[in-house]
Amino acid sequence: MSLYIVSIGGTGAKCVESIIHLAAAGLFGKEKIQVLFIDPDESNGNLTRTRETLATYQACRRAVSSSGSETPWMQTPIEALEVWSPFSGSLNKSLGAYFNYESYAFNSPGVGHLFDVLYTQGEREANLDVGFRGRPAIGSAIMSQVKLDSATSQEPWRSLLQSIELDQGVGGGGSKTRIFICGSIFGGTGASGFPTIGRLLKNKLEKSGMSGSVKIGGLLMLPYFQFSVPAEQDPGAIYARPEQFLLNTEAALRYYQAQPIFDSIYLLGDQDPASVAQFSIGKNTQKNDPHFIELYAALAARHFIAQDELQPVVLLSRQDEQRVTWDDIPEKAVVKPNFANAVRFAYLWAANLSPELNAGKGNIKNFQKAAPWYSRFFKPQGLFLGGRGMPDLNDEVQQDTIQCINGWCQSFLRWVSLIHGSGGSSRNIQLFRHALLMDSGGNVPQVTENFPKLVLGADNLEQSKDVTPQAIKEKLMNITPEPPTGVSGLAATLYSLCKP
Amino acid sequence: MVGDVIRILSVAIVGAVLMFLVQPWLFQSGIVPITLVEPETWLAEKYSVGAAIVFSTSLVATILWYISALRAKVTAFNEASPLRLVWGLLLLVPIIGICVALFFYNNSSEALLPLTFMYVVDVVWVYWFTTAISSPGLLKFIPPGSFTVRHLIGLK
Repeated sequence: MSLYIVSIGGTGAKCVESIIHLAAAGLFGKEKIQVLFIDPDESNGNLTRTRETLATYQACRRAVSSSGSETPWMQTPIEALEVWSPFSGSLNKSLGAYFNYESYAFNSPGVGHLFDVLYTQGEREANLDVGFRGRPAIGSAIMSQVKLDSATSQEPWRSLLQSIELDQGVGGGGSKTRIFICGSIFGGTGASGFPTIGRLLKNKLEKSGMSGSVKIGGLLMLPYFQFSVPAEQDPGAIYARPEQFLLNTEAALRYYQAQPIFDSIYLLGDQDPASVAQFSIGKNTQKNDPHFIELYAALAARHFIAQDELQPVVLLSRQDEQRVTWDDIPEKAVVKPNFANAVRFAYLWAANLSPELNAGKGNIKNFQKAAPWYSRFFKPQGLFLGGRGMPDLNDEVQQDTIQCINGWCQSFLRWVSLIHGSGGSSRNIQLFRHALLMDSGGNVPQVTENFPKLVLGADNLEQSKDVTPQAIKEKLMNITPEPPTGVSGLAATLYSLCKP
Repeated sequence: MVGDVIRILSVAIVGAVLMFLVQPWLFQSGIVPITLVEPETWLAEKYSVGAAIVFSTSLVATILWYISALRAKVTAFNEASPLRLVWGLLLLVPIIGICVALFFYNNSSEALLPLTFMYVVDVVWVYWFTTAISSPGLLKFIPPGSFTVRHLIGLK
């Protein structure tokens, strides 16, 4: 089974960010995920953060893959097919320039007049390097120019199509392949790219005889955040307007009702949209904090690939308007233990193991005596102590692996912490005790007493003496790990021991 | 934990055999000669009481160390290191036992040197060796030399 994710716009990128984090927690299996990002605003802050998250994930996965561990942690290979922008290589990034509007006056005056009817002068001339400015009509025209032909299309579309064709084998009928398209319904890039790219891919698959075996799923994010437009902003300028989000959504939903493009479609929204602190038309300042709805977006992607028989409509709602608990999480029996495992590991690593390794590397002779698990994973220092073939903690590879795992733990715990804070004053997200995960400076506090309390609704963890950090380290010390050992073996073993 | 207790009992029994059977025999057989006092009387009235003091103080110190180590809350290596001081303070208990045994329960000057040597060996065996191979949990390598001893005998 292969999964291709087409992420459209900033919201699509944020959904991918959640997918990466849940994949790290082992919720996406071992099959490869390939991601294609679509955004005319290549420096969009949300997209940049997601690409950084992916790079952190890939670096950590590479570093720990040598452990050969069977833990679900980081088991999903995720590759990016890079960012596609319709304006890549263009100097003038406007609608008029894209369609050579100036030439219509001489070559096709009729088309030019039609253009004038469809788009105002401001829309024709607006610089689109910040995205489609909340105007799906602009984006649809540009997105529809994508050539989906494996021979003539530009990168990364060519790679995407070739990869799908390879999965299907010559003549089709190969492995199960799924394409998951995600974006927002209410903005510019997502709203225009989602139906257009979906339709183009559907047509391409039908033309290639692959529509039976390649399923297309769609995730549309309904309005779930809002922002205030500053008073100094020119009211005549072209930018996304929050007051139009619902209207845009209503019109778009009518369209999708009449256009059966997707084999399965997921709609996610929130009746109490979160407020984004900073107004931004685009570029690197358009960087919104993760939102708990994006957790559901990742679970929708998981649902899409896990179902053998696709359901045309999937409905989910929460029990209590004031809070989101584990009971509101689909497939709780699988999601909760895996998610909790990843959070517990990331916390214990960042709060305890990593600072210990850092402090111990300067004086290993003393450290190995006060940290008896050390000599299980690293070469002990001293005569006649054995440890042949085991790595030294001060090896460059070991130190790099520590840094990679630290980076992932920080990124993952930050995301978990922020999705809990996204409920605003009206909702409580009650999955983890997020206040314990990060201090006010954005660092993981080195307080291990909180470790048993991290998961909400897990009284067994809070009361059991077998799952305290001390008990876990004692188990760590009594394990005989399979080679290779070192940091990757230590992390994989610790991950297993953090299972709730 | 069961393994630790078995090791403590085993080493204590070997220590008792050493102190109450082997060492008296060394004096009785003349391998360690004592001529100024009657060996049988000295062994019955002095040595056996002194050896009992040294043995019991060593065993009590061992048990106290084991209980302290078992109850210690240790989650980081820097919390384990200070417990070396506790181990060192508990070592004073059998050392005081040796002093008491030698001062109050030895009236033979020629036995003083071998007796001191034997008591020191006894303390090394009953306190140090027992704690070196039987300390629990994250404190297993805290007694001096335990890291090397445990690795050498395969008790990693």
